[in-house]
Amino acid sequence: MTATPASGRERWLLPLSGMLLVMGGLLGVQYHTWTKYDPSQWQRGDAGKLLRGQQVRLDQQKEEIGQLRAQLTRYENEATSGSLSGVINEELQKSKMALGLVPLEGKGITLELGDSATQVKKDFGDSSFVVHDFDLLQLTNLLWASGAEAVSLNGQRIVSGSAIVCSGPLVQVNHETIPVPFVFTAVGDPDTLLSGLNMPNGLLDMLRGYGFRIKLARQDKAYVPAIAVAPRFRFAHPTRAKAPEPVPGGAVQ
Amino acid sequence: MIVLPILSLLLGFLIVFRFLPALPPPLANYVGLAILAGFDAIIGGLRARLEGKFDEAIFVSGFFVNMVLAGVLAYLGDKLNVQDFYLAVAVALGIRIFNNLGRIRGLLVTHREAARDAAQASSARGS
Repeated sequence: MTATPASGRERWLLPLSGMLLVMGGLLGVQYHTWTKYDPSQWQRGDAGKLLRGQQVRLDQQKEEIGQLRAQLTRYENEATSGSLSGVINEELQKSKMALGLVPLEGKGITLELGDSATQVKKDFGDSSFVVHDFDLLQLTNLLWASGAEAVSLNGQRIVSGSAIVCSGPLVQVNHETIPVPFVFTAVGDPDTLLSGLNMPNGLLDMLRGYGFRIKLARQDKAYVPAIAVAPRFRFAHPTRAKAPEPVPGGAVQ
Repeated sequence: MIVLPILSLLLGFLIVFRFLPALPPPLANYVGLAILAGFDAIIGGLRARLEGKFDEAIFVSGFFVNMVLAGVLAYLGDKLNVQDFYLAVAVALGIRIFNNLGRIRGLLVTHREAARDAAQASSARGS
């Protein structure tokens, strides 16, 4: 050290200071990353907790809705002891059945559909071997076409307003996410349903060809739950107006 | 005057920490490598200085170029899908740093022994 001349020491100090300024800056950046991004992960944890809490509340509220609906039905039954109101009530209950507001039970079938057993290299991302939203849509359609009176998919009642959409690796029904395996429950004549589903060269035949695991079973007591959230009509309202005259040529407007 | 470099280190840290926003975590790897490269350059400069081969231009250019290069190389490796390429850069830099530190240690020890021998020699002559 003593061998170094004083001028050399001076030459070394200034650039070293400049460099250490930069190093300090970089260390500051790293420190930022440690301190500022870890809290965000905590926040993510909080968000998860919040979500779980909301889920629990949602479940409670759904239960409450079910209880209130049952209560309402009881009131309706009590209120309509007269013969005319009895008829009205019967109509009301039928409408509620059609709308999916009451759980239904009866003879029917269950259809379980799992992803294909065919092994494909995941790297190629071949999606022909996973169940898609459109498969479920077509199956729902096929169930209605085969005479189903009520259908549910993984505990979600399928009604006229039910949307079945893709949400990444999962599928959403009635805005609820459902996982594989997909289990349809349909109330209806089991023979008609099964023969409709097993139509030669039909949808199930095609899916079996791809190796999808399909389990069909008759049910003496197929249970189809009520829809969790009743449809709301914010824009539509009943009208006595006649249907507009069809425009020649079939154009809508 | 070792105070000036230390002060500038603190100043750099404080400037960035106080006034600049944080980087997204994926960039942290590259910044870490840049820090490693800078440390390597400084250790290399210290060694050159002890060996009496210190050159200001090489020192300064090496610092900045290596720093940028380390980060860019690792980034490029990631973009080319070379898995965990930053580890290779880190290992290369680590080996260099340890080598240089070893040399510096050796140089410092020889300096001290030379100084002690000189002191003993002078005291022996004095008695």
